[in-house]
Amino acid sequence: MNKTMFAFLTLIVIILTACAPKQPAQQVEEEKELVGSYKIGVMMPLSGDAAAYGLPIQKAFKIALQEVNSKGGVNGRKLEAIYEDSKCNPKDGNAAAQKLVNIDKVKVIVGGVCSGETLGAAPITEADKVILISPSATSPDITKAGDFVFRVAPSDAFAGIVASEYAFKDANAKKAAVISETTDYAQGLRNVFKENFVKLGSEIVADETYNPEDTDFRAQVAKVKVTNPDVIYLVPQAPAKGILLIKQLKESGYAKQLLTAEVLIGRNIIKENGADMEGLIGIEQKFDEKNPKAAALVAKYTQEAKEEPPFPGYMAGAYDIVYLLADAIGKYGYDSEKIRDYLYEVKDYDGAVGKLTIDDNGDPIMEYSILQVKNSQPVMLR
Amino acid sequence: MPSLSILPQLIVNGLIAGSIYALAASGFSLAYYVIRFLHFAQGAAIAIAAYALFTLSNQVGLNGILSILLTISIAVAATLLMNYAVYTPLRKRKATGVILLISSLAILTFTASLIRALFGPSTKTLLLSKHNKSFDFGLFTITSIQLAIIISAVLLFLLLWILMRKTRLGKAMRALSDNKEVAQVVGINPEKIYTYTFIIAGIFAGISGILIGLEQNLYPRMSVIIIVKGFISSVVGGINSVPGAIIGGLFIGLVENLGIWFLPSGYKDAISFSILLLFLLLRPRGILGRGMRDDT
Amino acid sequence: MILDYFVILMTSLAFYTILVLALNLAVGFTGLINLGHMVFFGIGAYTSAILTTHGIPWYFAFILAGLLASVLGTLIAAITVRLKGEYFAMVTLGLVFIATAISRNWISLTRGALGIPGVPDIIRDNFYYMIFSWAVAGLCILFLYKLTNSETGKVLQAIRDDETAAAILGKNTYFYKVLSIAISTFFAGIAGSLFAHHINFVDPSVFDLEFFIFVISMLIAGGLASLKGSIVGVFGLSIVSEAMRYIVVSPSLIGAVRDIVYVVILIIILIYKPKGIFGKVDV
Repeated sequence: MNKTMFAFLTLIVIILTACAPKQPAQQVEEEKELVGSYKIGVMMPLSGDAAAYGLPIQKAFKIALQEVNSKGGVNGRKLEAIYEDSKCNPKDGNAAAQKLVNIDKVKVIVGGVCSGETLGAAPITEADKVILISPSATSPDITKAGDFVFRVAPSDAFAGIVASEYAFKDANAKKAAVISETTDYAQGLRNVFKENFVKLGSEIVADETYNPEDTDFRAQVAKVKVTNPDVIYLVPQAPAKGILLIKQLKESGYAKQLLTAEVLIGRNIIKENGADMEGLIGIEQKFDEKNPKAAALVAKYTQEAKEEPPFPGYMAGAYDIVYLLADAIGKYGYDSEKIRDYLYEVKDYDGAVGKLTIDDNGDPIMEYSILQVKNSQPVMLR
Repeated sequence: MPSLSILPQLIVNGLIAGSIYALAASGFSLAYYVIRFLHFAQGAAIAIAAYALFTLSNQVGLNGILSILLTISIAVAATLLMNYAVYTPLRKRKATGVILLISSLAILTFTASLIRALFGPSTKTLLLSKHNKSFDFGLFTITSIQLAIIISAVLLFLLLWILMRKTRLGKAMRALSDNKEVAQVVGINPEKIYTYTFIIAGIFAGISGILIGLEQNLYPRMSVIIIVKGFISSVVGGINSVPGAIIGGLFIGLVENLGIWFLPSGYKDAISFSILLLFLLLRPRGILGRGMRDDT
Repeated sequence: MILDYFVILMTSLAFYTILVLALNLAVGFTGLINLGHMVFFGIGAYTSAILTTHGIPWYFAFILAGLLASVLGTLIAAITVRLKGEYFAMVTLGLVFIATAISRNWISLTRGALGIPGVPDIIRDNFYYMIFSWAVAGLCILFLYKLTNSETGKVLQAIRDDETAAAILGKNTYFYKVLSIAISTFFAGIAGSLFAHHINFVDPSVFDLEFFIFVISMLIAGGLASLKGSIVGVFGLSIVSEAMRYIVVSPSLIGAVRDIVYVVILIIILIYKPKGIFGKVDV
């Protein structure tokens, strides 16, 4: 190694150390002078395909945040959000969490939206005893991700069981097929659905997958169609591919029941692509629009975003998280261990998601609702 | 065990998919042939065209023909802008093919982000696709848009063949492709021909954007996804033969769809890339290629 | 706490440094445009993750990560290095998509898209893990410094500049090119192992093209065929991408704006400094 190189290295190390502390140092001072704020880290996919759920969920989070702050904040302090783009992958989830934990010194991170980024962030937050609470990560692996890791969206393990029971009992299916995307969320649902459907005594006649880059599903459709299933369970990772898949299924002439998971029955998706989706049945975590908190959220979101909430269940989760955290911090202070204990005690909380209870693993216990697209409108079956 | 009754449908599916790849490959292949760099940003131009059509027909409400013509002009303008803003300065700096490749990947990312910022991340459906009809022939089904895609691919093949073999522009392009220095000596102005090349690539992008948009809907990352298959098709068809790109597209489409007959469908991409590997190793000039240049 | 941030960031810079230096050996010093570099990084990451989650000691997994990546790299190189310039680039780009498909679909081995969580730490304390990572990076720098200044290094560069001439001088260019990829992929695998134990989670996103564009940008910004250039490139672009976190924009535009700013910076570097900061050669 020569001298210039060494000099450069030194220079960069100096720049790094000089740059890094500036902002937090200022903020700490401000905190003392002003009434101050409680910082909440937020990591969500704000770019890439997954921004399709990251952005609406972020908006719901902001609505709750503004509500709390306009009502006088928490203990006279503001709740201040710091947003990071975790891009739905573990590498960026890890980097985002590490910045939030070590630079912004947050004690609480809301996120991630995807399971991969959440699992990438968990080792960082766990080591520093920072709360990581996700509105929407559903991978069964998150159940065991750590003591400080929570979520208000139920694990795929539950949703897959509900879907298979619906197919077996309500749709009376003797033969079911599954078409799923090779992503964490979709594979989680696929595995549980298959297992449980067979356990119930029926048969899986086709099990096809596609990769996130694919746009042509006709081969899968042809292979599935020839087995003539009574129900096809579709599990895309994001709405874009799901709609294409339905379109290609219908073009092929398949006319029996299609069943899907929550990502595909977002309200704006039904609105924009309703004609293609006619008859589709979707299962999502229960969301009662008549529940006053939920109704308020829907009204506000619709007004601000000029669209109906695409993923009301997850968005309600993000909304409730803010209120839960505000309550916890108000009662016990900005202390992650106490907030953790508070969260484990949550039982029958009246939230926008409905009655919310958090179990010993930090997972919620929740109900599901089943809806069908009729005349381009979502209609609740139950 | 795979059932034989789906074979006709799989072949038709292969033709449809192949024609889509061919559309994406056409402009990409032309740019490679004339300018000798991997113009991945062709995917960006295709996505821009699709979103332009969305704006013009869904949002502004122009009629079909007018919005289609405007869409093609926008695609041409976007392609020329890429050339003047990024590629021309790089060529002046005598940047190598790899630098141009990376800059075109950068344009691809840039466009996807820009589209996401302007139109949001959710999927859009073109209103024009409402006129789409499905025809059932018993053994297979096909829609009117899919028929249009297959016909367009065939027409593009003929058009490219005439362009390269029968026109003065085509001859100048071939001369440039064979040897830039010699071409310059005989009075061909490379930059001028490059501009024409990008105009033609832009027109192809416009047509592909419209058809692919109608068939597969619109989403910000469509640019990236489309051009990867366009790239494979170009190489397999013969990167030294512009019409070869169309043949390559059809070939890849068919092999992928027939391959999935036996293999789990998740391996579809692996199939096409394995074919790419095999071709590069065993027949790098591709199906229609005429041998390789020495200096690449 | 700031120190923790610095420590974790420096750890990631260590494996980026190894990764970029390894890429430089192939691309910069030997002229082999390997666009599939991340495949070997991914193989290293998966090897470490799979072995250590099955109870095999980390040091064994760590070495094997490098060796396995290198064996595969050597095999692939043995078949493909005879291809010319861009054809080699295209084959290696193809490898990325094949690796992605395999990692997503070979579920019994890789758990598919669910990824492998709970990859154990090599060293619990972040600070010592950073020291360890940089010790590895230091060895890599030292090795490549010696190599590129040795007789072998000169042959590699001669092949890059004029392969026919090198062959006429009696050098077995085929052997040297395969050797270059073998070493390059070994270090890529080692970097992957460090990454897996750093993030504690591996999934198919290690093969993402975006990730590779970030890595090759570091190489090009720093300059080809320059070891110090690669190190400067790694630090420079990491600072840019970290600094981007402090750009204040409307929260709903953060993702798009950061992407756009980053790409614009990259294109500006490519146009105004195509040889990078310390670059000696064009690709």
